[in-house]
Amino acid sequence: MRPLSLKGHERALTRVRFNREGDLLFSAAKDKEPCIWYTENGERLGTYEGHGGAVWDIDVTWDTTHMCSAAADNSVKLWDCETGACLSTIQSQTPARSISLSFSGNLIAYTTLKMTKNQSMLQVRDTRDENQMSNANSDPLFTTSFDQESAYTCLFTSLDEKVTVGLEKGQLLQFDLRKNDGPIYENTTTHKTFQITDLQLSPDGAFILSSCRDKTAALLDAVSLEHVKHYKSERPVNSACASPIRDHICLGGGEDAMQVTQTSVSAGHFEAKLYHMVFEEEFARFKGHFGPINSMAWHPSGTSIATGGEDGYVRIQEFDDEYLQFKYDF
Amino acid sequence: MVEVDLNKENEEEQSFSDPEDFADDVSDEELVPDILAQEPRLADLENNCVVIFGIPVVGSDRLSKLTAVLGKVFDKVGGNYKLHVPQNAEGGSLGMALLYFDERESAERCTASLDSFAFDKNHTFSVVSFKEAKLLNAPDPKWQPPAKEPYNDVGDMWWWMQNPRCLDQFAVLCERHVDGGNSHNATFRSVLSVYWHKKNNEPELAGDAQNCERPDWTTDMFMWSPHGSYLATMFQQGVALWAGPKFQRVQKFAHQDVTWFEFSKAETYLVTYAPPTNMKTWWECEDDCLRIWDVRTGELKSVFSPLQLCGQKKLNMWPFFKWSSDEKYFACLKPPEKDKLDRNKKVDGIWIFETETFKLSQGTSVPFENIRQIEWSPTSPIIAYYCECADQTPAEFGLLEMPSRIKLRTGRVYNVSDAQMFWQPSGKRLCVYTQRYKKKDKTRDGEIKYVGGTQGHLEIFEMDKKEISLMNLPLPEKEPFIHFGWEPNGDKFCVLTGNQSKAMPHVYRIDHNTHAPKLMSKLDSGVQYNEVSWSPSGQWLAILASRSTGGNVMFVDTTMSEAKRSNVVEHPGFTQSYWDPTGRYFTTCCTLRGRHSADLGYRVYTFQGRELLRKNVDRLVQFSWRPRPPVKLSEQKLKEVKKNLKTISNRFKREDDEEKNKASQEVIEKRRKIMNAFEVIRKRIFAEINTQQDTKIQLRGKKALEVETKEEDLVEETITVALSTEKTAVAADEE
Repeated sequence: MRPLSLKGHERALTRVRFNREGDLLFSAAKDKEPCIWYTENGERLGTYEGHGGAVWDIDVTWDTTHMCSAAADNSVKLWDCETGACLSTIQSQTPARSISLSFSGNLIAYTTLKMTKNQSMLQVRDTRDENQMSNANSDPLFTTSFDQESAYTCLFTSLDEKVTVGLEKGQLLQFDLRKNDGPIYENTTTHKTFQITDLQLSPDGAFILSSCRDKTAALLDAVSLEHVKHYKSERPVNSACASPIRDHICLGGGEDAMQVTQTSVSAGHFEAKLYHMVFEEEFARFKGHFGPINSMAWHPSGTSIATGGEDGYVRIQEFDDEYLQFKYDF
Repeated sequence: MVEVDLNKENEEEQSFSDPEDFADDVSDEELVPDILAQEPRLADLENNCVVIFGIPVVGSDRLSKLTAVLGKVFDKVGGNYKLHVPQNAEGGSLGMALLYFDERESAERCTASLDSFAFDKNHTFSVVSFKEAKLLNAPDPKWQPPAKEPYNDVGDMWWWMQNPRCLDQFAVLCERHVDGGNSHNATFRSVLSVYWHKKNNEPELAGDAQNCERPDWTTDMFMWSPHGSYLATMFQQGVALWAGPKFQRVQKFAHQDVTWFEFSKAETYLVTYAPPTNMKTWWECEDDCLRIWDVRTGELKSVFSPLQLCGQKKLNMWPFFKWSSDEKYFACLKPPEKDKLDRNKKVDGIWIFETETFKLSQGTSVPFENIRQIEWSPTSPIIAYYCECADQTPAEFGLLEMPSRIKLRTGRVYNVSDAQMFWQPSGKRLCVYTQRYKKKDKTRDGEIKYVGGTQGHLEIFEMDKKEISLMNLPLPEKEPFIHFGWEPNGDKFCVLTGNQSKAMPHVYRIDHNTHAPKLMSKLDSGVQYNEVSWSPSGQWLAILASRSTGGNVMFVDTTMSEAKRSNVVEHPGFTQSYWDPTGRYFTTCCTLRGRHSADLGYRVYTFQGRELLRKNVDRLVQFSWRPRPPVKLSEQKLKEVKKNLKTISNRFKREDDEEKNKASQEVIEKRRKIMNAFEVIRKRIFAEINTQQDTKIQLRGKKALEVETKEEDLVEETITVALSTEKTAVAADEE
């Protein structure tokens, strides 16, 4: 049956990711156990068991050997993709909110939330260093903290050198791991007031797609964080991804989970919306979820999109011929 | 001697005269109060005397005749009077007269009744009491007649009707961020814009941006005049009208803190209302809370106070006045007044004013007991009225013709709990809906309760039939009436009945031969519809569910013998909906005053329900199509068009296609520019990224090196792996 609707999680999805080849799909939800699926038929291969709280974020190395996860049980774990064994656990002071792997797959960047006296932190650790990976008190490769706000999302932007972070009030900061004296680039104008929900790199590595609760998503220059394009939606945007083959992007989100019960499904805007990357125009949308979309990923082949919703479903939507033949006149 | 002595004595004693320095201590008041009371006083004279200006100036030869005619007029006032017509040197009249009355009351009555009395065509009296006349100043010698106002030419007021493509205009009022920012507590500024509606295209401003899109153009809302000539906007100081291709100001009507305004049917008059400033005392308020203006000249025609019209300071509805179609009359309900003879009886009725004088027509109201609702016919000076039923009397509804005040047709029904009236826009028919109960009970709390259920009936008056025929259509029992709508120019109507979960639209046709409306179709819906809205050109109608969360609109085609559902669309949370004046398009909109969670904006559909435009407008306040004046093509022209319909429609089609091509050309041009600019940025970033090639190889090792060099082959290979994975999976399943 197409589109595939995968029911493997008991609670709201937090992240869906494809591996580099696109044959495997990884998903994480608030129910402690990330899952791995065959993209082709939606069969579940297995789960990664070990976390004691909601898993907020996961990432997979480029060669699909390792998977890492950030969870609300104040830990970050590194897993063996194939066996599902937990290789190492790093304890954090507060819940780990987001995670990203570097180009080489050797470095893990993760952020933790601000809680009481503990500040929100961004840390980068080297998976090859036993000490860094097991001992929470050992010095990480890189660490920085944020005064007032929590960092909700992080992303390795340029190979193994730079990490971009999205904060609670819409600021975007980029750090160079070799210089530990504050962000090298800052963008406070693209998004204001509202939380950055997701950062994704365009497949060619040239742009960052930032999605924000201010009902917009933006395209940023990955090198300098400069604002390039802006996409307006009617509802908070929880995730945005870019097509690997065409100048298209896709936004997902919807009415806040809290308010969903007060509105009808059609008013919730739970559809995924396709925009032209350059013209900033919405040209198509597809339905499926009956709650907001929390995370989405474009298949490396460019012919399907995986979405994870607040409703607990992962959907793999394959594009029809109409889309594949659709061309913008210019 | 004795006598002499006596005389002497007398002489001495008779000297009663007071000494020269004697002062009498008894006043005249004590001595002769009765006589003094009759002494004429200046104040009495002044009060009893009136001065009448404006009598004809005649020569001495005709003076006696004039006096005689004047006497006839003054006799009618009553009371004894003396007439004095001052004369000039030649013995002719001076154009004024003095009247001296015996009683002050007569003088006052004379002032009240004869002031502004039209003596003849050229002479109108102006009457003041002598006391006031004394206070009149001599006219300022420097006074000059006011200069003529130059005509304010704003251009052709119907310019928008002459659009070569027959496009229609609409206006949109929304609030925009002042700084354009996105912060929580930003301040907003209202912006009113007028657009052309272009099918399949984005709306286009109806002229230069500076003329057609203005910030702070109105403080609260705007209104098109009924024929579309003017755009009326509100300000704190009053109402302003804008017209012409540049939307220049044509007229302003000063009324501080105006809250409501309304045009008469053919936009000749404007009614403005501002609530009384002093709300503390209920018995006094300004006389001019309601003002009626002449739209063309800007002249204040008349003023009213709410106290005088409805006995209270707050108007209970708006528009307050109901205007007749020819604008000769305007009417409102008269508040109940205690009957002079019977204390328990209350008299109410309709106040009908004439626009010739702005006074009550024939000087009196039209009495109707328990009157609840009135509605003018859309085409003739006939009022439809509905009087509630009382304990003893039935409810009455009927038609009252003006100015004859003849009841053309009435209907009386017992046990009516509710009624509504609907005129067909063509003025041909009137439908009265009545809800009848079987038994009425009063609960202990005094609430009225209807026992045994109620049933709806429709009574249809046919104006063009002999003696105005009346037909009755009972509605299905247990299906409460929701709404009713006439086809504007045809013989069909739609009535909506049902309960909360489901409403059923019934479309009927009135056949000229049979005496009962014929049911065309009953459309099954399952949605909570609550309103019927016919296209202005008939044949098509929209049935709305503006109170449900889904926001359904059902488009119905009644062109065939059976009414058919053409499409159902959803606009969640829409609050208002409008047909465009030609009946080609239908709009639903979601405004600020509606539900908060909904997306504000408007959508335009074809009359068949195909969506053409979806426009999200943050903080949309009001949407309104510009009405068209009721100017019709001549019969001959209509015939001509019908005959050549094919060639004409082909021409329009060709024009549409040309327009489309032109528009898409423009879009393509624009896109090309955007794309080129983007490519520049992309190239710059790629140049920077490409310098990292060596590092990339270093980071991912030899494998990555292979990937980078033989990228294409490898990608293909991975896809094969993916497929084989599936194959094994299926095999595993089979095992």
